[in-house]
Amino acid sequence: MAYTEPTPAYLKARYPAFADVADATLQVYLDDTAASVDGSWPENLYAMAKAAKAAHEMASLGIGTRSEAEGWAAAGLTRIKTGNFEAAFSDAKVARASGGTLDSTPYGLIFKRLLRKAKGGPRVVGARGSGCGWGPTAQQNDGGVLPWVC
Amino acid sequence: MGLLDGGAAALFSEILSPLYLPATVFAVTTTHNDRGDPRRTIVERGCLAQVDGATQTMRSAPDFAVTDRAVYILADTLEGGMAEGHEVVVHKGPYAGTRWKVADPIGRDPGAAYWLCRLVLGKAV
Repeated sequence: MAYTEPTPAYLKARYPAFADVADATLQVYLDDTAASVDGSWPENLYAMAKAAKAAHEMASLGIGTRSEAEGWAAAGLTRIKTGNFEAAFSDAKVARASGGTLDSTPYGLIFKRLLRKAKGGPRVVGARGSGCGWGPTAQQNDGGVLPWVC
Repeated sequence: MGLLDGGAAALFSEILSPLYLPATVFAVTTTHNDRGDPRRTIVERGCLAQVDGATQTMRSAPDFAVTDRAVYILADTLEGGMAEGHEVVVHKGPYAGTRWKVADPIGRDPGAAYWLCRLVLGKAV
């Protein structure tokens, strides 16, 4: 199976918040993801990861549509009062949203999850099992045989 | 868009829209023809609103009645403004169906997020 390069149409279908963004702009950000997503990724995650990374970078710059609350949180707003109306946002969420890390946008969180699938997790390495008992090579200085440590 | 030129209005509209109730504002304007006869025009506008207790300022109005209430209208959900003589019906909640008349005081907030108006019973036409 060959790698399928995601297109602007694919990104728009997956993330409608970018439906109004010019295809040329989307293509630039998709191309930029080559630095993060390459042929070492599993083929089934490749297009999804590129689209998520491109969307994250664009959302971080305010490209595409987002809710008012997301926009102000990204700007670092934690509390607003106008007349009798007052709203406060979670400090932790605002810190995340304005931090610029992968946690700051929903697309970054998706990319992070895909990254964990593709690159993270425990590695299983081969090892020769051995039972407890008297090992043939562990010897005392006097030539006596020591037991294996289990 | 800054907070004072639409940002606050959009933000509070987004936050409060799920909580506010559907309402209709009847914008009443009276014009006079060449002979001076009055002509009443009513334009219906949908919006989201919440009826609340009268504010202290409203209670200071000379014609305040204990049945008067306050209404908060999310500015972003209402086309046009509010004025004395307009009428309001909130379609859900404890005051559903009551047709109120808008009276002074009519207030706004610095961020233009809401209209705050006194509602008067029994004078609507």
